[in-house]
Amino acid sequence: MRIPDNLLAQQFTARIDSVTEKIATDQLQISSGIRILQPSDDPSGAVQAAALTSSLSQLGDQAQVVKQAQSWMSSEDATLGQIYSQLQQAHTLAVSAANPQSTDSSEALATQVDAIRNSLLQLANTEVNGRYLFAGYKTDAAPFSDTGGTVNYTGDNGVKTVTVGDSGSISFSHPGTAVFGTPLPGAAADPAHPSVFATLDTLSAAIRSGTTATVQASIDQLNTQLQNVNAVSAETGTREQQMTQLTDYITQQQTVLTKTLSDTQSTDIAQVAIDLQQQQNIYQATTYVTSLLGKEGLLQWLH
Amino acid sequence: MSLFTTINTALSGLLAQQQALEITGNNVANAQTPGYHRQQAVLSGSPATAPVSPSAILLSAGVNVADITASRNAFLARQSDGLSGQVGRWSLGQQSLTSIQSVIAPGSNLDLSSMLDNFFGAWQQLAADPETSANRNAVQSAGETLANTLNNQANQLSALAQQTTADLTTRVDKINTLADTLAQLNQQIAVAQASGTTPNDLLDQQETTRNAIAQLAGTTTLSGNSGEQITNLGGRALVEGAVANHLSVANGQVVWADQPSQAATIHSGEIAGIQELQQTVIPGYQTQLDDIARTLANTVNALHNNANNATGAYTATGTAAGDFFTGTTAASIAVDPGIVADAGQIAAAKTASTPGDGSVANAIAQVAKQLLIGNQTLGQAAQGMLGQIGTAVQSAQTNLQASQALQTQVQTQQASQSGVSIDEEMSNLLVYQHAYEASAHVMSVANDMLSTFLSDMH
Repeated sequence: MRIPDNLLAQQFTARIDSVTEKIATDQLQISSGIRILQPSDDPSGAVQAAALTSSLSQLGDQAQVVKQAQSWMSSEDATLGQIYSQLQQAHTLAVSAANPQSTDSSEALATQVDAIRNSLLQLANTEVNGRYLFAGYKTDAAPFSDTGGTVNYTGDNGVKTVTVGDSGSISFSHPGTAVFGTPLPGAAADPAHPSVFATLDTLSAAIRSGTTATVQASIDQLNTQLQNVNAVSAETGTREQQMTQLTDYITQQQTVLTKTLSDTQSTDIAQVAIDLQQQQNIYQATTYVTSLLGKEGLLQWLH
Repeated sequence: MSLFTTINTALSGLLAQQQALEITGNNVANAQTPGYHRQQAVLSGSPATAPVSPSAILLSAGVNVADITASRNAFLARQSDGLSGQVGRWSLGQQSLTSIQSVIAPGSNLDLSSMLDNFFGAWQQLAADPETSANRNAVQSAGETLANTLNNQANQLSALAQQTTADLTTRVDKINTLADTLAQLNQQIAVAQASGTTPNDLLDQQETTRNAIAQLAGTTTLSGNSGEQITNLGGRALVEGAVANHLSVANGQVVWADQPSQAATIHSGEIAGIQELQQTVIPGYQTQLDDIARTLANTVNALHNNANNATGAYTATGTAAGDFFTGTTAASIAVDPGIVADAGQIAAAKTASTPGDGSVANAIAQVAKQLLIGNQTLGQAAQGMLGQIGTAVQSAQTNLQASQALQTQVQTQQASQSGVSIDEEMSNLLVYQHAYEASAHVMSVANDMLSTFLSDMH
């Protein structure tokens, strides 16, 4: 086969171009650490990487949301504990007022019940970060107010809820109605199920007047209310546990997905480095051989 | 036979070798000229006019250059035309698709899928903590970035579509110029051939011009009934002998200039690549972007606008919320100006004056998981586009490499037959040089003989 001069030059240029292109790609893959620099490098890998990146981003958001809910619930949990112990004290006071052998002064007992009622009112208006814990959705204003000796509720029945991943809705707050049994604004009080505040008001008055039957009725109501607060507390505890499990799940998923993403799009440094070395060898050999060819030629020998 | 005849014969040798040397010189000079076919002198003995006495043997009267041939291979030239069309089509396709790819996949965390994640992620944060105004600001800015990303991609695709229309016009103009050139060449070649000469340089130009047209429009060459060359474009002659038909662009279509209602059928070449981009590829991506933008705007607005949401949607200030997005195409989608001015206009709650309620925000965050476009989420639709453009670029690259490999083979064969090898020309040079010297020597000997004869006569 005849090999004319321009053919040699063309073939040399084409080979150098293709080797140089491979060297450039290898260097980019090594320096960026990423194998898929453009979707065309590996279309299905690129889609997989985008989907994994998206899932990781969603998991990050979920972790944030869970943290937010956890912080709310831990505030609520601590407050519920205090509410429970206050109610227990009121119960103890009521029991001792109902005891005919009791030597405590009725007035002193009644004053202590009033103090508990006021401190419960404060607890009911607990504010964390500018948000009232037991106001339902109306978190911007104190939900409980003492108007002429009666505690009124101005919040609503709202329960804060977020949807996290595929685990469905998670509720993480309790409105004042659920904890203290206060009626919603505008609703009439139910005489059979009075609020914590109404019970304590009745109890205090009954101790002062020495109406033992009413004191006894209040003790029963306080028992129910203690059970209720306990149940709310238990529910919060269960949810906190769910959140902890969810956080563990999210962390685990993040680890798995990060690994998969890395497997999908990361450069196999060793392999690319070897390839780079090979391409460099080819480049050097090609240029060397071509430089030799240029020197030899009939023209040189004719002179 | 006379000594004068010998001198004449030697002279014909001198002249023929000189001409052969000139051809060698021309070959060497054109060693790097594209489209040049190496030429060769065809030497032939000159027939004697009459038997030469006394032997009555018919001796030829020297040598002459009967023809100058160029090593031309019509089959390889046709093959090269076809491959040039393929290479033209795919190299244009690969370049343009790579541009589209850089629009759709601008790099990690800048693509549409990431922007959708950020947007819905911001809504989820707002759902969990609707009282914090920073969360509303985050939704506002993520919404704006998402809308801007859609706007940018749509605008860049439109710009590419406009660019391809401009490219089409440029190339059609180029084809018309080349067709005129080819028609002229065809005529000049016909005239030259009629007078019995071989117009090698014109034939080289004809081949180069034909190849340039093929690269643009994938034309093929046929021979007409009377031997004229026909450059065929989708069943009609672009150039027939000395007549060139012109093309023009009407409404983004390539049509025949003399019959504007008739579209030119172009299946290969750069123009086929442009038409594919213009008619299928770019509109395809535009439609997908518009689908995503429209679905996003409609779905989010249906939840965000109090008038559309059955359970209600209220802003931070307790007023009934309006649309979140305006515009329903990728180019026009934007965050509502009221929300841009005041992030408090974002609805998180289903009733007025309930700052702790994030149920609307929660519902909007769930849009990310809804299968809205062909059994896919919005994010999956955006990711699908990445895969689609990636595959398109990859297949254009593969096709380009395959057609280039074939083209290289044909070019190698062509070069092997018609390229200039300096070594070969140098050896020819030696042969012609020695032949010239030998002829000169013959003449010198004849001269001596003649001198001897003449001086002895005195």
